[in-house]
Amino acid sequence: MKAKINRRKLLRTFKEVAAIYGPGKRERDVADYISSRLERLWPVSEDGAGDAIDGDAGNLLVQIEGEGEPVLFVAHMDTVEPCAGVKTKVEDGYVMSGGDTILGADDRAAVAALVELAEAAARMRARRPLELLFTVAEEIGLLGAKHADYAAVTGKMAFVFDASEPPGFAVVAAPGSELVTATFHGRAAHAGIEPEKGINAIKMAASAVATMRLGRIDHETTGNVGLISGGRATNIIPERAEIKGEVRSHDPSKLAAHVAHINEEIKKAAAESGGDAEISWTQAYVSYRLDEDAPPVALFRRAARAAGLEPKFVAGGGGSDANVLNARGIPSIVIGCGMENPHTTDERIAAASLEKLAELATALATTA
Amino acid sequence: MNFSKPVYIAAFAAACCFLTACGPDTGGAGAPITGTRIWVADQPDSKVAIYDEGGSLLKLVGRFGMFNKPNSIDVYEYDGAAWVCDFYTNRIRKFSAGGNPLYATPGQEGGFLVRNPVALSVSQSSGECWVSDRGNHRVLRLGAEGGVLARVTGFRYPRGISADPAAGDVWVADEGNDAVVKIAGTASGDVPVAAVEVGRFTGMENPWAVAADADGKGWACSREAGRVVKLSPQAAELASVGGFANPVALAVDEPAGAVYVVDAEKGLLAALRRNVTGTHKDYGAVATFVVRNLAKPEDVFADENAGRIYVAEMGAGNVRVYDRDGELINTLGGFSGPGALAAWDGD
Ligand SMILES: [Zn+2]
Repeated sequence: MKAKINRRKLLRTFKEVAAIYGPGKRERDVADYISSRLERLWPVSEDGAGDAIDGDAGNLLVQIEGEGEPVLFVAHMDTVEPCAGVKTKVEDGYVMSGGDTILGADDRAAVAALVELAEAAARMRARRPLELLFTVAEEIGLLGAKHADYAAVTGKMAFVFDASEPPGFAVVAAPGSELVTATFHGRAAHAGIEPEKGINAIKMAASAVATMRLGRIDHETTGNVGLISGGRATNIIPERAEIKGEVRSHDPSKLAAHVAHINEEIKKAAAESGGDAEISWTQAYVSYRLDEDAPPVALFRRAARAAGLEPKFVAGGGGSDANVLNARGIPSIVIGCGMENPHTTDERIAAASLEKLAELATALATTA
Repeated sequence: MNFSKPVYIAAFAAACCFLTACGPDTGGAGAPITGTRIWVADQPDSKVAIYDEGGSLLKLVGRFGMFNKPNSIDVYEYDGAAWVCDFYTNRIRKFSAGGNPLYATPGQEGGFLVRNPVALSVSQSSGECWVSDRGNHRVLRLGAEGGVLARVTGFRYPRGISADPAAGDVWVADEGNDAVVKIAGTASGDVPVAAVEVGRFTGMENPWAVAADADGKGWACSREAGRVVKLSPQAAELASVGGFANPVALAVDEPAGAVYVVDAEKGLLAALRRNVTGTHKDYGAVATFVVRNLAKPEDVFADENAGRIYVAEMGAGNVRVYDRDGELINTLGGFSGPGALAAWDGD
């Protein structure tokens, strides 16, 4: 006997969990839903990440004993706005929102699949020990994963259920990312009466941005300035301007090189104008790249085939909880869940993808 | 209830507890306990307390710390002692009718006898307690005084458990094996299930709760299959009643000729006829009454002496009390989420 996940229940669970309001740091109701479903089956614990990031819930860890090497399955509980009052409908085999909110398949489809997996797990033969980590605040900077209590985690590899590719795809490499905030300081003066006394901070910022190499730097590196602000009035020479941007690269040395380049351009622009600039960088996440024989890649290949899928491996362009886990030494890949148009009100997921995702989770749990 | 042999043990047990820990229970100023005592495990705040029929708190037995998600309660009709099963503290605790602690399985310092237990059932013929020790994949027989009388191994994920009030045999739902197993109540020592098995039913996916009937038959329900089965004393299927979505608890009411089922998803309490046979796609045809519009009922308890049916309505924070016609007698409110209950109607 090999227990299968009940399709009718899976769809209902997804609709229930999609309807729960839970943006980053406000995942309490999502966490309570998961606990109420699973806490009488397997030990469920919540860590202190909620306090650490000033949210209303921590990460949930569900520990499902089994035989063999434990693996970690990860899904994030938070969704992006607008996510209040999500009403789901099913049309032409797709689950979608009413159109005025996101659907939240990113990442509630994964949450639903893992809840159903846990409910069916007692009846699965030859199942490895599973740890289900439901993280908070992924969408606002992987904060839950960064503050998770890893002392309780024993999984030697992880599958993060959070890629938008269809089931069968896995993201085995992702860039690292550094975020920059640069504040240019000039000198204010009346623009009509004594412009000679002013130093224009907006001009400094503009000239820095103009000389920076942005966009696609090479096949694995990108740079962007996405926000600019400054100034007070048309007749005042602005004394302050701020830009915010990022650099991503799959290659850590290229990432460092491009960070240095951006620093250089900022400092140069400030110096040429006689002003100065404060620069602050924060690491958003660290890159990773797994070999094709890395344990999660090898297991994914076998499990996908067992679930009737042809495994395909790709490099991703964004960060996920897998970046944090890989940096912590837990080899991790991101699993395609089949959510389409995530982060938009046109988001949808095929009911068939949801089912395949659950089958794939079962296969990852039970394939030798 | 059959007192033929076991009454001696029961009386002995009662006397022992008098002599040891806690002294006699009283209902207040030295008077004996009278009136109905309703034991309720409130799940979200992990509180176990005793209430009277009117819903007044008689005693707070324990709160978070002593308990962490208590999930099953049963009482011994002979003396009103109650056993409480607690998932996260990994302990089984026994209390007197008055709510005084009598016994607990070892805690951390004693190496935990049980791990993530999910259900228990008191044998009404002996006062012993049978425990579904899920995390250890076994079933335990605890003496009325708390010693371990048997460890029955070889289950995968035991869930519901129910001791036969007459013969003392025990029904166990083994979720992990899709099996409902009946084992001999005489099991002792460390013994594999095969050695004490009386019957095994494997015709229903994901069995959840079980209830032993007084005539050696058994009842089981399945969340996956959405049905309730009646089984012969050897565990062969005698009847199947469908139409449920998530039946989670069962209780036999022998004098009323009924078996009560609560369905957490459909929000109902159905009284099935105990003498039902054959296959019925819908419970409506074989129910003497159906109460609807309950919010996530999680447990049901039949007080056979008083003719009362108690339902833990987790979603609404209520305990509902019905008579045998399904008439609502009373609603006890103000709970955070009652998940398990039992009642004793006094001496
Ligand atoms: Zn996501």
